[in-house]
Amino acid sequence: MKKHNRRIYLIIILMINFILTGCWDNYELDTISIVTGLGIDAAENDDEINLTLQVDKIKGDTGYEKGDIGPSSSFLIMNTTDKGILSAIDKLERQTPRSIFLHHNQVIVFGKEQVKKGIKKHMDVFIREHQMRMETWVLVSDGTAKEILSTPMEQEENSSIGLSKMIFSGSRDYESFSVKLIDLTSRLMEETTSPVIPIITAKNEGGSSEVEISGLAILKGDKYIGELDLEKVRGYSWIMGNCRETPLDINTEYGYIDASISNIKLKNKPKFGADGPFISIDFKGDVTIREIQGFEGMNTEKTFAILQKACVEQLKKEILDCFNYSQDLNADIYGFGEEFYRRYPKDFERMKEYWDEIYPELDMKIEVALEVTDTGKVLNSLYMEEQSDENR
Amino acid sequence: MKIDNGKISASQFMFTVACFIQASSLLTAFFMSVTKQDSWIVSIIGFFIGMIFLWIYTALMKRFPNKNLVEINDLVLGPVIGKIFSCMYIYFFLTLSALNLKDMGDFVGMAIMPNTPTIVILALFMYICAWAVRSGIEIVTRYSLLFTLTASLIIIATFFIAYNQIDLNNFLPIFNQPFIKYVQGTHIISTIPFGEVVVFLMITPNIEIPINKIRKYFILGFAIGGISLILIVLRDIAVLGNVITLFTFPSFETLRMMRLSGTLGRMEVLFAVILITLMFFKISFLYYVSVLAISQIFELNSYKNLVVGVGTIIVIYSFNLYYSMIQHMEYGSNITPFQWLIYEFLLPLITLIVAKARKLSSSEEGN
Amino acid sequence: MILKYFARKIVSAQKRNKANHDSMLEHEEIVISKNLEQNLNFIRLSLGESLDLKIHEFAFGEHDQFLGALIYIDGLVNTIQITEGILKPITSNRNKYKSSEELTISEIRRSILCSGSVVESDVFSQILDGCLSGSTIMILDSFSKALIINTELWEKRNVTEPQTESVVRGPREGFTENLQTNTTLLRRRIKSPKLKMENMIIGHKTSTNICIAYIEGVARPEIIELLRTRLNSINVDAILDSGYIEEYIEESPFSIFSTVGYSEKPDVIASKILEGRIAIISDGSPFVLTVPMLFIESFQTAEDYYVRAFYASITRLMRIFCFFIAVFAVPIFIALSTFHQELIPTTLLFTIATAREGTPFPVLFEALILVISFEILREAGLRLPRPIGQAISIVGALVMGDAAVSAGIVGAPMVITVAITAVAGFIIPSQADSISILRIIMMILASVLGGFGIAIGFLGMLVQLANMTSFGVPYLGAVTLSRNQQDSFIRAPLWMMQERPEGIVYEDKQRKEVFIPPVKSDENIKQEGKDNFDEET
Repeated sequence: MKKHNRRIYLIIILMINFILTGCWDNYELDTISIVTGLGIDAAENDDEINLTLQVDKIKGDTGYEKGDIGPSSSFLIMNTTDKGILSAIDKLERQTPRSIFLHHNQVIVFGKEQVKKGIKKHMDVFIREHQMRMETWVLVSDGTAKEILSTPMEQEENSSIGLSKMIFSGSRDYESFSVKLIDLTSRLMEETTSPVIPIITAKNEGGSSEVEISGLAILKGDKYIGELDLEKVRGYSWIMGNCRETPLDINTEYGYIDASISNIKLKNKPKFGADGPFISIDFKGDVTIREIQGFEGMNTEKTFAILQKACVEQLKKEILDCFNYSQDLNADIYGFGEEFYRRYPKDFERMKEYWDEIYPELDMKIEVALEVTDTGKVLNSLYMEEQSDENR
Repeated sequence: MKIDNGKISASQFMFTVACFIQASSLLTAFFMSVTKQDSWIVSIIGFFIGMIFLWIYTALMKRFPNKNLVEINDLVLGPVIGKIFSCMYIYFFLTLSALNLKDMGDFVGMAIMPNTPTIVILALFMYICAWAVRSGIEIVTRYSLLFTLTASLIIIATFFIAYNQIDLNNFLPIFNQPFIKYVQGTHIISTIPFGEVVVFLMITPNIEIPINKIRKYFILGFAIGGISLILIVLRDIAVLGNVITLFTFPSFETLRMMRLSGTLGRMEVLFAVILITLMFFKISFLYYVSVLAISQIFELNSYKNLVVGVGTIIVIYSFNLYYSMIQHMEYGSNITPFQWLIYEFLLPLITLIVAKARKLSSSEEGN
Repeated sequence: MILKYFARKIVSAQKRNKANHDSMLEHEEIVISKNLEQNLNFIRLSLGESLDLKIHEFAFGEHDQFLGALIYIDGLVNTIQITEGILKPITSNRNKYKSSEELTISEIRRSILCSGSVVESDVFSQILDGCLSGSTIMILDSFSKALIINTELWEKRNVTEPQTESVVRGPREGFTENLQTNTTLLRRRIKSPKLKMENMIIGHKTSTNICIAYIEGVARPEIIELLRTRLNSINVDAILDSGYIEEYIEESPFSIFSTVGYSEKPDVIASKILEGRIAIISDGSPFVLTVPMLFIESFQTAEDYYVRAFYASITRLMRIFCFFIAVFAVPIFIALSTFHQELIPTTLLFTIATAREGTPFPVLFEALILVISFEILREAGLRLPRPIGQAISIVGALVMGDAAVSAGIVGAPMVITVAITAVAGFIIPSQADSISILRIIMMILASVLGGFGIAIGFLGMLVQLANMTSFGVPYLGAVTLSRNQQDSFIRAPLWMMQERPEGIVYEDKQRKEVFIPPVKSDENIKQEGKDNFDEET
């Protein structure tokens, strides 16, 4: 019995020794400031950056106060300048009573000026630090990141959560708008691709300020060289295979059409042809008619034929527009280089160094086939005539 | 002479093998950094090479069904050389336990609780393992079915949840790397996860199945574990693509990225959960085998007194293995596979050949 | 290994005392004398001058020549039977016993009308035992033996629905405190001659009757033998309830989980006996013990077998799930909100953080306060008289929770978590004690080491469970691959369960001979009906 007792005491003492010495990783919820947005701007000094953190402000609320909950900004902005991101965060930690908690960071915003200088050297922190998650959205701000992060949103208490929701719903139209950190890293690692990042603009109109997604920024290497506005974004998205149900509005000589293309089957293949490499695009889709204006006195058959042709034309035009623009900028935003590498690795090894010269000369052969399948509740619009024997 | 009288049934043995191999899903970074997007090919080839190792082990098990590895060495190679072989095996088992323990400690320390001193994590973990080991082989392997099922369910579930983020283009280009990389990758994977099943030779006397069925159950368990590992590799490559070479724990990053819907994301807790339970299983098993081997070499009556001592040795040993993760990765990819090859392939092969030459088997007593 | 340990204990116990109860110790060899007065004095001395000890002297025979005395304890005996069955036959017919003849005790014995047993004895220990158990003692002057006549009748509770285990569908009889009633209830359900009931008397001062019931051929002889040795080695003053016996015979006295099962319903006990277990019925307690007990039995209720298989499986899975919620919900909440805030979805984190603002205590203390006050409320609700008790526990819970939140002592999410935990704990009443202890241990571990602490606690619990055996049978019979799976996490339909649980059963493994699923449909009958109809038209 004594031996039994001794052993038990020994075990208990040893275990308590480990447990009572302290809780090292224990952070109570009211000792952390939850960062929801991170912004990087250019500072005057070339070496330094201006770091902005958007921190959620937790209001103490026992749930029994029945005051009015008006739109109030429930976040605060912290700002400092330093050489690197983590040292800037350390600086900020000294200014707040709570330690900074990055795990719930929703967005990373780069200021345009900073992107023009290059972002690759700052990406290291995002990949290395454990608290930065790879699925954070990346954005470029039209002005400064601080502007975007300081703008409150009407429907959301916390603007970063609102931003992330905006991107999420925006990505239903064009998935190109959702760029996660991991996508950006992956594209930066590819040698020939130019990454694209969505651009956010803050607008101040008569007192109320809003943010909106206004295009895609193009980076070459890691520096900003240009941007795609919303029409070109559409042209870009057609080929990237990111579209699910995308609207298309066309002005023809007979009237105005608003259609949406869905059920897209895209074949996007790089090939080697007689005179060098080219991209062959094979596009098949279904057209759903959303709105027709005009087309007076025409019957359905004719209308839909015109419609279909117009859509095909418009599609080709948009795709080529965007492609030519990217060729002008010499930025392989589509990742064609990577596609070549994936399918013809040996040939690509030779082409790699000259990609900058090859890309502007690259040819694109587009085949578009569209079918009008869905016209909504009615076949004819009010203006169009019934199909009668006379007009046949 | 059996020190431990516990009995393991056939299916329990099968699931123990499966669980053991599934626990190595943490170590995929070793060969992923070498063969990048072709890691799945390397895994499949390594699986088959592991089967070759398996053939050697089951041949030994069939010849000596009621003797464990230390006894086989003594019997086949004579008292002196046999003991030397067994001592080398002890070094192997101790190193394996310490390595796995440190891996787990590193993972928990880096990803979950950075500020806690590692000794606390490791020591507390070893307490539970020591308790299990002290209670015998039956306790150590009792939960094999439960753990294997849970781990397999989680793997399959994450496969489906990650479906949205799988991009099959990440597998291209295939076979584009220099041939030596494939050899290296195969070498790594056949020794580090798959070859470690040599430790099961130590518990042969405790398994309760007729001799001719050992091979079937062993291969089945091996297959279950191997398929889980290959599935994990496939999933990681598909989701992460070319970023995979950056991470030290690729599966962890994959699980971090998955979202069920809207706000229900952050699945890395699943990874941590299965990892800690599976590692508990593997480390207690390796711990048990080390203690058993040591007590058999010194011909003790019971191994229970050694448990605490060996546990302390393993914990302290694990701190001295390598200085940093960088060294660990480098060793793991380049040096360790050659070392393990000796213990997993060479030594058992020599034992088998000598046994065949001397026409020894346990069914006949004496030479 | 266990057997050796117990063998050692038994030998030393047997050396210490050979007798089982007080009266035997003291009055071993004392025999009655032929003098009635002497005997009565001795009895008065031994039993004391208590109010319920009745000594009734009477005379019988032709000329009232024979003197005798009836000794009984009022309240334990059937007084009508004494008068009608004992006194009347002896004293009524005056001519029955003539003074000239020699009277033997056996003649008197034959004339007593009694359906209970009539025993001759001359040893005082037996006589006193009988008297205290409800028999009437007849001592006659100048006779060397006395008669012990069994005339037991006392107040007992009716067979009612047990309060601890209520079912929606199923029998509602429950055991009572009377040993005979309990054995009757069992016998009514198992009418096989193989049902064996062995009797024992344990406890020096209480002399409690214990009955072991099992089915011969189905229960393992080793377990029966082990049980017998353990019961025999109980050397204690009092056995007031079966709970006492449970503590003396269980195998891991320091473990949190109990290895001896109990129940208050005869159908539950009957089904367990039929599966190969052994029941221990104790006089004075409506709770009957069963050994050996597996962990999975705490999640099985009687109703599982009376409702349909699918629903029973779902409720059983829910019970197992609730066990984990009851133990781990609060620790997981603590761990997540203090160590792993990254695992909580962002909007939920804001809610919890809002609730945490302004609460003074660390999360562990909040949790401890709430859990302990919940335990206090529960205990208070049990002890208060019924009309007040229910009202106070409801009001107490609501008001306390509400007031605590608005006073800012605890946060609302914590109150909800503890409430869910508490309610989930009620689903498994037999494990309530282990759940409370485990919960607090896990909470402390979680607050120190977060998720890793919970993992360690969980693994420790698993190792402890794997280590336990109940009378030689591994406690976790359901986790390894075996026949047991059909009745563990889910309940297979009754026609699928062909064999009894492994490990407990000795020989008779087949529940039934042939695997017959229930009859599919009445196709044949329909055909017949059709033919008849056709014939008629």
